[in-house]
Amino acid sequence: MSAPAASPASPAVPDVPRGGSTAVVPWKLAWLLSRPGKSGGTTALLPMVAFGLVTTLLLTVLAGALSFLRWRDELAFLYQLLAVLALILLVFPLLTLGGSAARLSARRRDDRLATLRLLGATPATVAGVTIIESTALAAAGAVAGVAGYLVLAPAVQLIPFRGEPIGGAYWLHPLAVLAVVAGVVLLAAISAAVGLRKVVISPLGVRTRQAPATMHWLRALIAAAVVLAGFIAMNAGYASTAVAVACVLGAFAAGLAVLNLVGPWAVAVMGRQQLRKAATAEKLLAARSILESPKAAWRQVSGLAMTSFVAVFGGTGVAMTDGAPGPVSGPEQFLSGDIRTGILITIVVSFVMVACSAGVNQAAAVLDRTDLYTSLDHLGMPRKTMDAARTRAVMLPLLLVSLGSAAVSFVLIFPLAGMALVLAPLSILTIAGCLGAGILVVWAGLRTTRPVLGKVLAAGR
Amino acid sequence: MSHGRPERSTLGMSPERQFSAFGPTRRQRPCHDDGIMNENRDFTPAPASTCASAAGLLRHPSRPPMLSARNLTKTYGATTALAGLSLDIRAGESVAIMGASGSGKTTLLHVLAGIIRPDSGQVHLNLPGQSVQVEALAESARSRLRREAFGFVFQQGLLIPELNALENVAVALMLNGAPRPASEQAAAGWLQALGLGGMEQRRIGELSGGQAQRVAIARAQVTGAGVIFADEPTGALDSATSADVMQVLLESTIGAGKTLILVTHDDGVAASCGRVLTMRDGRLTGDSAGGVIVAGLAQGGNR
Repeated sequence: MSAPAASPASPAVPDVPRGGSTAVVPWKLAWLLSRPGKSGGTTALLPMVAFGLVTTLLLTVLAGALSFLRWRDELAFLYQLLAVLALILLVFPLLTLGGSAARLSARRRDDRLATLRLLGATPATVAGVTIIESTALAAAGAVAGVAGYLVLAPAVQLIPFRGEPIGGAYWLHPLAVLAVVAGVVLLAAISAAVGLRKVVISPLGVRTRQAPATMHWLRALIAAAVVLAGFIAMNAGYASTAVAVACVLGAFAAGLAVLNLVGPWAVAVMGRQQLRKAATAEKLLAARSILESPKAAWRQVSGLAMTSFVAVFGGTGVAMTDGAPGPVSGPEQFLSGDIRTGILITIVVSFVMVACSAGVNQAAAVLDRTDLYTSLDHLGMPRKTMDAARTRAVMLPLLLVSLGSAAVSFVLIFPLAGMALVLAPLSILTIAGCLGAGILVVWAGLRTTRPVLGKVLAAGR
Repeated sequence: MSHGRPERSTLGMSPERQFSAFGPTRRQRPCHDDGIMNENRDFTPAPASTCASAAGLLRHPSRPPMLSARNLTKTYGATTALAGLSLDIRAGESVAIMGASGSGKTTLLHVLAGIIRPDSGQVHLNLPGQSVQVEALAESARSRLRREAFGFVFQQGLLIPELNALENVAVALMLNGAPRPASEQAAAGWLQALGLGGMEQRRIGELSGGQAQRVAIARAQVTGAGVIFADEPTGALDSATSADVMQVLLESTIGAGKTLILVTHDDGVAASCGRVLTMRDGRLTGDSAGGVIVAGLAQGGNR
């Protein structure tokens, strides 16, 4: 078929090379899309801040844990074991924050990338643009994060373990710093590729919101079965210590898996309950927001489940040893206090990570829905209603997870926890106060996103 | 926010007026082609002219205008959006504001609705027994005015995607302090009246563009607002759906004695309104109610 003759008024159609290399296209598109859009530089700034926070916290936590390697005596192994346990506990909120940052940088481009796909860009091009963009943002953020690690040094170096401050042991080997930066960038690239799978599979799927996934009660049943199996395994007699240790570790891993299985279901149950009871606009909006994706609501706060659980568990143990007469000299004299310090640091860092992740996600959610928030403002919805709904949508799952886990832990070791409360109330109250302060930190993190909404509404007026 | 008895409005609207509307009241129900409200009939949109003539009874020249704007100016940097514009709109009128992009129509709509303040000039809103100087109100008072006295329909509907159709409509009443059961009952009545019966539980993503726009129309009216502002209400729809939505909008607003002020690029949409204003460079250049206005003379009053 011959092409219709162009009329004199028709704009000239540029020559399109046929059969040429398309490998360069993602780079060109990534460069074009990197230019500031309607929301200014915030689109790029937010993921960069998030990646920066991830890197700073990861380097600081790692530096603290590795500083324990400097000891060589008989107690060193115990300290190192506890440091590894703290790292494991912190990995979950850290991965959540890292995942939020990566999804954020990917999601902020969802619409434009879906449009590219509708215009005929190949899946490889879309994936290429996404990965290039996220990787570049993560790299910039990670470099800023290294600066954050250096800035925090004077404060962290003062924390005492075994009677002396961490001091120079805080400094990581440059190769370790490089490895962390590379890991963050890799995480961003992988998350971006996974997160945009939907755009590549079906561009229309992203542009039309679909019904939220429902959480089946079967999750709770499976969780109960796993817990029962774990209980039986833990109480069976084992001839070999290795088998017993394997069973304990297996039960710990199964516990984490169960938490992730039952968590979204529990959040969904709470969301449905809130929806039934919602008497005001902000409560209705918050409940619907949780039910939109109970999995996402859970993921944001899931790291706190294990931290709260261990905080009460470990805190009780420390309180018990505080109440009993212990060694007054030698390295053992510091053990109880150091464990308490470790628990408090773990709680604080976990909550700070969740606060960062919640703040970043909320700021992104506001920027993603500029038109909607502006229209609600035009309708006369008060700003405090919008803020209250956003805050409730995060704080309700947070309270359920942190206080729920702490309560379960308290019930499991009730006789000991009760005794600890009588023998060393100050120790237990310190842990409880730390949990309370952590919840306040997350709330404060959410409050920092209020100016973002204020700016969005002001721009629409 | 009150959870029990609704607060009394600052605008003198009784809670009964706002919240007894478990569905459209007789006055709020759209009129039919014979101009008579009939509860037993399905809602069938009538020609706009019929409704316009019914509403004409409310447009008596001796009555003071419902909205009165004087010498409005608004600039954004070097761009002049409103250049000393004056305008009177009477209760029950359907007014289309037309003009090229950048002529200032949306700015005018926003100033009249109290969304933005003009740099200078006044906007007077006359409600039964009360008069409000809109631009002089504080931000929170203008926000309250918008949710109690005005309704809005936007180009894309801009409904809350997490909520279903029923909740999207009910939330407008809940923001005014109405209890949720009463709000949902009123919302269900409006959805039914606008042909969306049975779709109350559908999420916005499960509705067509036309259906979503009907939900937006229901949301704009469920509070009993006397003035409805619409910014390109059919701009995102195909022509058939556009005509359908426009009829629903006209029937449910001016057909029930309300005032409709809309911004549009579409001649067909404008033609279905009782009065057409044309704008250029922040001034009124034409008013079908008062003949063509010569640019420049429009300042300081054009009726």
